Amino acid sequence: METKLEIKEYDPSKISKPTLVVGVPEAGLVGIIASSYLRDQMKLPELGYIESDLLPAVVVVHESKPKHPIRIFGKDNLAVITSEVPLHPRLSLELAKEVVSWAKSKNTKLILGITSVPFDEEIEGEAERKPKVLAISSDERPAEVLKQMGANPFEEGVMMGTHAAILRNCITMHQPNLTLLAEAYSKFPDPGAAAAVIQVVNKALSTSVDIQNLIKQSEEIRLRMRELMATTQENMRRNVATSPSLYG
Amino acid sequence: MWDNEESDTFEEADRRIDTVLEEIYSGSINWLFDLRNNLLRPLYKIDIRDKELIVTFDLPGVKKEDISISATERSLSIEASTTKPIRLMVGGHIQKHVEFERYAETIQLPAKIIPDKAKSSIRDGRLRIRIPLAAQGRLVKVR
Repeated sequence: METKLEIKEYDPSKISKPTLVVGVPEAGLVGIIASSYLRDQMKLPELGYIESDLLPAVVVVHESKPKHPIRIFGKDNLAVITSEVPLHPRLSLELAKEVVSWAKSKNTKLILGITSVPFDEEIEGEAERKPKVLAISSDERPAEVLKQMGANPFEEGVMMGTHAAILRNCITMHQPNLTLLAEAYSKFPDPGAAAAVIQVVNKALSTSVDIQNLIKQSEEIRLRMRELMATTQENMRRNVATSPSLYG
Repeated sequence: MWDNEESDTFEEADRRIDTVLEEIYSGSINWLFDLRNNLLRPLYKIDIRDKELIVTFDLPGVKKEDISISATERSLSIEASTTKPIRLMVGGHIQKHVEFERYAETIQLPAKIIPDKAKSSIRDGRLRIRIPLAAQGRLVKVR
């Protein structure tokens, strides 16, 4: 199949042997909230973008400047890819393939995927909510290592979406991958779940990103991200409708 | 990678998703705001269980005492004032700042309910309304 996606770096020497964090709009917008927060708190400059004729005809405007919807940020061996538009199935597959190939070419130490699993509100009860974070790694890290990071090993189940495609490519290409899945309200933007996942990221990457601002901005983020949540939800609904059957 | 039939399905799905995304980004189906009445329409979800229907509204910036709920057998309406004005960028091609102080929404329910028996709770601005389903259906004898 012809590749319809390209990763463009403004200065290829700026990214070398990085840890690569990936966050795209999926259930609860956990990946995009957490990865954007990491980028903002660590003041990561823009280093490139992803271009594809599979992207919708959209440009995002920030402070009067037109921007690509999928961009790469980073410094000091940390790179972050964020998407401000939901990815439809073919774009997800292409992005996963190209991002993992590009990561290999950059001798990436680890691809750290941030995503979510639906939060079971029935067992929520009245106690204060503490979203759990599940973790799955391509290199079969022992359960103990995952637990020390504050995550629960993802033992059985099915993962779907962009991060599933990335993980699959990582297995094939022997690229280390750790994917974190926070329990989230799938149909509402969930900064609380993003804060929980950042605490695990801090342990996994030995960073010390403070989550207090994220907690403080929680209401504002939920309001600001309503539109992206609505488009993402519509996109997810259609993805499910077109997914090949598990046993098909 | 895919046979022709799957490829056609994929392309059709891609086209539909692109259309929806473009419509949303151009603001033509922007149902999250009622600009004429200066209202926010909340995100919500509906779950149907065996004996009840659960509707959850995402109402950031709202306190319990500022919410009013009314229901009929087939619809549910909520109105809520925000604790402080909410300033958001709104619009399609050109975005502008708009200030909102109220959420309002009426939804048609997918099943008949018993409106008098609705119970609600709110936590972190997420309002959850549980309503028993009206009895329906009869036993059918297998001959």
